[in-house]
Amino acid sequence: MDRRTTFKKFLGVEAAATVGNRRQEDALPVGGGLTPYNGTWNYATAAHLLRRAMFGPTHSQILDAVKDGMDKTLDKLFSPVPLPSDPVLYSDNPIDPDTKKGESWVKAPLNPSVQGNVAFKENSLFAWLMEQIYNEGVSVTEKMTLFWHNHFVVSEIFDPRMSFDYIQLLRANCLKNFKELTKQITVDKAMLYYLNGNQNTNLAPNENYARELMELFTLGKGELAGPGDYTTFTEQDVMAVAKALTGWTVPVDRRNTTYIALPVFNPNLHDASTKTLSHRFGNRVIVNAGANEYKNVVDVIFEKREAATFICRKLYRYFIYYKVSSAIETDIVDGLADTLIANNFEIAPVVRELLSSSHFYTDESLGALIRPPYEFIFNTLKAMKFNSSQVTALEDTYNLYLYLYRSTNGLQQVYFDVPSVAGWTPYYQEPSFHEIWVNSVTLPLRAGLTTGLASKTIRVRNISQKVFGLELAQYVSDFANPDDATKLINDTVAHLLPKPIYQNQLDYLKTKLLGNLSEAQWKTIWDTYAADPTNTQKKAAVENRLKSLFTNLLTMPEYYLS
Amino acid sequence: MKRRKFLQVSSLASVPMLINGIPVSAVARNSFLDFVSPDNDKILVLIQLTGGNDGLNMVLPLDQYTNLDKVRNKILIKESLAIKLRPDLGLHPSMTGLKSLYDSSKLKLIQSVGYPNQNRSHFRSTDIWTSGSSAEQVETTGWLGRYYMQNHNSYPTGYPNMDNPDPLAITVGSLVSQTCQGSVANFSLAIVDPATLAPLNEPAFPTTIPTTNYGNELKYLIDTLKQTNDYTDVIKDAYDAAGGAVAATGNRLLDQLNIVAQLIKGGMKTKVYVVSIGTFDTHANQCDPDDHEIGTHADLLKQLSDAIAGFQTAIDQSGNSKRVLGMTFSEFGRRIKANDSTGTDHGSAAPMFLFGSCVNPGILGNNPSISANVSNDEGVAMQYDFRSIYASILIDWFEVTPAIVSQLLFKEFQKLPVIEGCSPTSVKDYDRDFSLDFETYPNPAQEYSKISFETKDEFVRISVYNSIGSEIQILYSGRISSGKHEMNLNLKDLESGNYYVRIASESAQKTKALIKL
Repeated sequence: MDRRTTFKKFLGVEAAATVGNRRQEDALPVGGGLTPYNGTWNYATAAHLLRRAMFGPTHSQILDAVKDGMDKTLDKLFSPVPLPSDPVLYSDNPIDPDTKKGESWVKAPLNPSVQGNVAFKENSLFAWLMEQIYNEGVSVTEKMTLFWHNHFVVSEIFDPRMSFDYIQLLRANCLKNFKELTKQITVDKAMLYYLNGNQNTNLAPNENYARELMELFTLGKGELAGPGDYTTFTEQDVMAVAKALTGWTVPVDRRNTTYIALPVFNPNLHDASTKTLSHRFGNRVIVNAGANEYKNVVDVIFEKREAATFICRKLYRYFIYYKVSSAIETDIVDGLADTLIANNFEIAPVVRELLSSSHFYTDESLGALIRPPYEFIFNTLKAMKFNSSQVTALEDTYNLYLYLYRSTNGLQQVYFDVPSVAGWTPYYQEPSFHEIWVNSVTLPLRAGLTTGLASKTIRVRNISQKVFGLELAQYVSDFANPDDATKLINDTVAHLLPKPIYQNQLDYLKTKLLGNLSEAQWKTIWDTYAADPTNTQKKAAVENRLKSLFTNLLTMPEYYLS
Repeated sequence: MKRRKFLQVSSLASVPMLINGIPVSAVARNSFLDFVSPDNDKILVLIQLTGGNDGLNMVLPLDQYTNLDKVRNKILIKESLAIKLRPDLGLHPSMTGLKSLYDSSKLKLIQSVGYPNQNRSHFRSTDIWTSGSSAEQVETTGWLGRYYMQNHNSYPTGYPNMDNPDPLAITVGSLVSQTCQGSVANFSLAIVDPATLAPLNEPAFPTTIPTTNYGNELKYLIDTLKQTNDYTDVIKDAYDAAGGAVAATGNRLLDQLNIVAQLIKGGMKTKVYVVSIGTFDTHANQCDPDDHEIGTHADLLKQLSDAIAGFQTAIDQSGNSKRVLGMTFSEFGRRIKANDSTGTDHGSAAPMFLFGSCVNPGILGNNPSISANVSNDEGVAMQYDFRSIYASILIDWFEVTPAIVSQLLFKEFQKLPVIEGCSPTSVKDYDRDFSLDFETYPNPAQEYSKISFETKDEFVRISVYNSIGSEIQILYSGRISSGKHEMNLNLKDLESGNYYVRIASESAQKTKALIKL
């Protein structure tokens, strides 16, 4: 903390000096619980909903949401969206005899004679993933797909076709049935590889998946109540479930060229014995059911209430805030779990209930979430007119998305590069949770990214002669009064920052916008540009000032919050 | 903020903060202050082996080789290729670096370190190791975090300052270490590459911060931003003073340790550095199925061994030998039995290394006993509680009083003779220095067995562990008179299989196998 501030606080002068300094806040309701929110619906509330449900709403999307009202906006957010078309080969180098440039590779052979074939298709998949986020509409789909990727983690690419199938499974089911998804993921090829399910046999059970299925995917781990007894399940259950899941194999590896759509159940590798669960499951037995046994396992697990509370707590932390007090546990998490169970584990009603709850619009939620790297970077790109449209050729487009994929590397959040099966650390690690995203290493990287974007100085590998960044003049043109320095700052602050800021901060931003100009001079250069927007010199004049404003605004700590 | 600036501000701020001549900050601090030596200049370097290291493949109990060959022959390295530290104990063949440290009396090997009621979840067990708590206790602060809280209660507010110009702890990597987590903030600063540090823009901050969740997070962000700038200066200064970056070695762990070595050489007063290497989670393909001496685990062990040796050389060259102690740790060892995927699953105890000129060199503890029949889920039984090693470091290295240490670790743990002065001595084998020894008879046993042992007048805990590391029977826990003792073991209710009797006293920790027929 600033020592001067401490000193002032010590003398008790601080409060007096700042009374009346605060910008008038939009009247935001106080309240809580899961009862549907019916307070004021305005720019602040609409922006809050879209920021949390998406990766970066534009000003016009927020205005639409204000006009539509909360319910219609939620209808939009939760309308099913068709699955995107497949990722394609985006270059002729290397040449793949089985797939042409522009064609989908997801079911094609993975020819080992093509140099770098696997990496090439991985890159295509990575770029395609970024494309989905970048082009999301008003929909909660991408946020939920990422949620499930962090939940049902698969983090190495074994075969890009498998990884594609896995991510499509998550996306297709992201708002559907949690129990059904758990069944499908249990025999998903990529998951069988990642948690060694494909090596789990009657001769040598590998309990990696069985443990995580209960500990991380469904029940969570409770207090240690006795030897090997974690309250929600026991070591005995890990071994029993591992046996029940034996026999699943993925008969393809990197060297195998053919595409195999489904894993194979080999009855000879399946443990046909009767498995007895611990007292935590009422000593239930799982009788041999061969290839269908995994479904019975999941059914038994989902009979426990923790299967609902655990995922609801995680959704709460993902969409609202990481601190789950006992009051929140009772009032929110338990209520959501009731909804989940009442809807037979359908996810959409729960997420919708959360995002439309009174609690979601209180100060316990507003502005309290530190933006994870994907949200941070895509908010900047999508909300502020990233100039991606200057590339149209397939190869360039993929290279640009691939750049975006790599841009979050140092920020510690990358699709298919999750540090462990528990997910990205900030989503689960006590006591700091999402504060872990921000430290002395990631802060400079965040600042470097937004500064590069606002300054339009980003060069992308394999795309020559072009610089990328934000079209700031176009961005501010969307607001009502870009010629008025005060209004321009107020409006963009309302769009980009989660809460109103203080007068000293608004003044600071104004000095950054104006530099040596007067407000009248700003109006003049803006009007000159607006009358002739294709004139590069006139555009440069306003962009210079906007660059100064936004490089500073985007490094304000407030911008790291949503 | 520049160094000059904060020095000025700190001295200004300290003027009104005196009550009867005592700085307010000191009064507000924990009353234990006096017991935590402020002038201690020792440095601790932690190397975290993430994923659960297969201790039996790193340190081979060669006297158990016949049985090892029965239960893990799919991955076992050849007896003749192990690097022998003793006739009955060898290192993995890739660990030549550690052998040279051992020969120059700079290595301490502690056998079978774990904790009662072994938890086999990576996350929970990592939390237990980093927090220094028991398996039953969920503790969110780190063991070193609590150590720092003794003297730095108000951190991060007011840091850096005149007395503490440097980061208190540093994690090399992008995420701070949980070992240094305090109840308010993490005491470690994350750095990746000191060479690329540059000051960050400090925009206008709010004049007041609301007491909402938003306000909490905003305060965290502002503090982190300012602190990053404050520490950037001092780190760059130290790094430059030491000559800047060392060329990349191709060994990522050594690269991390080279940064640490440079910062130490540059005069930083940082007391704890944390580096990591992984992943040791070798469920599959731990080694080449046809050549067990090579593969994933061999590569990791080579990196580890080479990096420690390289780091020690750098520390010796910069004249800091007597200030630096290193320690390896991992969340658990792996199963005794190999699985069918040329790998090993999550297990229990494993050996740890301490290194540096001030270790009491040699091997502490007995070779684990491996029986010919081990169940699928059997791990290596613990001999030493990991908190005994933490306690020894806190007491003998950081000069924290035993009374405080037992508070930091929630309980009293036996201090082990692992750090004893800094002059090179001959390699000692401490096994035999322990007076405590015990016998179980009969063994194997059917319904009853008997344990006989001799103690001083001291506190002891005698218990039976099962094959997955859970303490299932406590035979005695309390003060015991000096002399010879005998106790009966009732095994009636136990299933047939391998069990372990463990005696932990104030002066010793010992574990012996017991087979129930």
